[in-house]
This record gives sequence, structure tokens and C-alpha cells, in this order.
Amino acid sequence: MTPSDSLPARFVGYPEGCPPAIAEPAAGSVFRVTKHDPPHEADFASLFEMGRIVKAPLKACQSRGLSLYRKIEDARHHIELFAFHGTFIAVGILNAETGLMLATPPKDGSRPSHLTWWCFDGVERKSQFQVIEEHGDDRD
Amino acid sequence: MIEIDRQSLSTEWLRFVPVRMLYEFDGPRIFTCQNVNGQIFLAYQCDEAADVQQFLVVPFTEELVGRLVKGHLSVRDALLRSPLWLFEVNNEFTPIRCWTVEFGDLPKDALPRAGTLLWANLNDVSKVQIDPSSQVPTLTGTV
Repeated sequence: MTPSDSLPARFVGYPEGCPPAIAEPAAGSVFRVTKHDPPHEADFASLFEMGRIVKAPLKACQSRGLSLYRKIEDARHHIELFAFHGTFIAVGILNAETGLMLATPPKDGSRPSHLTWWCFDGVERKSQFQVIEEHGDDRD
Repeated sequence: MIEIDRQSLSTEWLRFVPVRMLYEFDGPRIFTCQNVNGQIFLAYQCDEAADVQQFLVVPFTEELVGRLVKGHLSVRDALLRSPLWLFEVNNEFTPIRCWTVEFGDLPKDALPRAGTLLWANLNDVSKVQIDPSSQVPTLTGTV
């Protein structure tokens, strides 16, 4: 038995090279819009887990991860744009035990706090997050 | 989900492939695409369920794209165009149904809040106004 055999499987079934080698251990505060308070595990399903087929090869790895924001302002703006995503903002305090993350801002310079979190297999995502804001149904 | 109790129209006139991605978060949310004649359309995701995503689609122009990304046009106002289509796409991002719809008939949670710009950082940009005498940008908001 080699040392690697004893390590827990962390990203089973992921494409080769995913998460990318430049991804770093998860750390710090992150924000995500959720439909539920307290959050449900479904609030943290990746595109891959939802059965969405991503055709672009470069996006296949990102589809295994989860979009998050480093800045709460971006999460608040997200709610204003997409009410169907939910009305709660949850904060997560992530650490290296939960997975890897990488800053993934769009190339056009918008939303610089966007990042992708690849959660280790077996980590319960909802328990990493807590709702801190509710933006009620006050749309025009 | 928006329910339409009418027969769907053909979806083949629109190439439902992002040409310019404007907002991506766990997949494409707002983007431009083209019809088979190369005319531009704006697509905005308005809802989703387990196996289907719904998008509002309106005719658009490069000039309007420019206004949208500069914060001179809100996303809601960008959708205030006619005709307005509701597209449903499957998990492979392939259109399966579409209908024409009326903006005023849409549920409020299918639309962005009034005045919301495309990106949060545009709220700061929109506070910058040009002094016509100097042409130097002046920040009018709180620094």
C-alpha cells in the first residue's frame, strides 16, 4: 500500500487536470445566494450535479465547481438580477478541509470577486454556510 | 417556472449559442446570440427547474450592448423590447420550446429589479460624470 492509496478520494470522476493545478486550498469568507434558510444541499449543487451538459471542454472543469463571490456586494447585486436564484445571502467560512478554490473573474474585468470552489467529495456544503441576509419579495 | 398554455413556436431561427457572454455564474445567465441571419439578440435567464432553463430573448444591437456594459442601460430596460420571446432549453442547452410573451404579463420574479445594471461595479462607474468644460471624469459619489 503506497501513501497515496491511504489518502481519501477527493475528486472522484473529475476530468484529468481538474481542479487545475493552480487552484489553492479553500480559505476565507465567501458568499452565495440561496433559496433556503438554513441552506439546503441543493443550494450548492454544481452544474454537473444538476445534469447540465457543458459542451465547451474548458468549462467542463468549472462545471464541477461552484460559483461564489468574495464580496457580499456582488451577491446582493446577483439577487437584484436573478430573483429565481433565491432571496438569501449565505456566508461560508471555508478552509483547506473543504476543497480547492480559484479566482475566476470574467476576462472583461467585470465581477472581479467571482471564484470557483471545488468541494472535496464527502464534504457537506450546507454546513459550511450560514444565511446572514434576507432580501424579501419587494420587487417592483 | 413561467407556464404558457399555448402551442410553442419553432426555435430553429435562433442559434442559442453565446456570442458575447455578459454574465456567467454557474453557467451562462446573460449573453448575446444571433439568429440564422446574424442579427443580434439578448438572452436573459429568468427561471430554471430540474431539467429546463427559461430565457427571455429580445432583438438587440451592438449599440445597446455597449450601453449595457457601460452602465447606461439597465438589464430590465434592455428587455423592454418587442417582440419578446420565452425560450426553454434542456440540459444540453438546446432550445426545445419558445413563445412570444408580453413584458407586462411576466411575473415580477422573472425580471431583474428596475434600475439594476449588468454588473455591480457599474454602479460606481455610473456615478462618474463628465464635466463638459474640462472633459475630465469627476466622481460625484462618496469615495
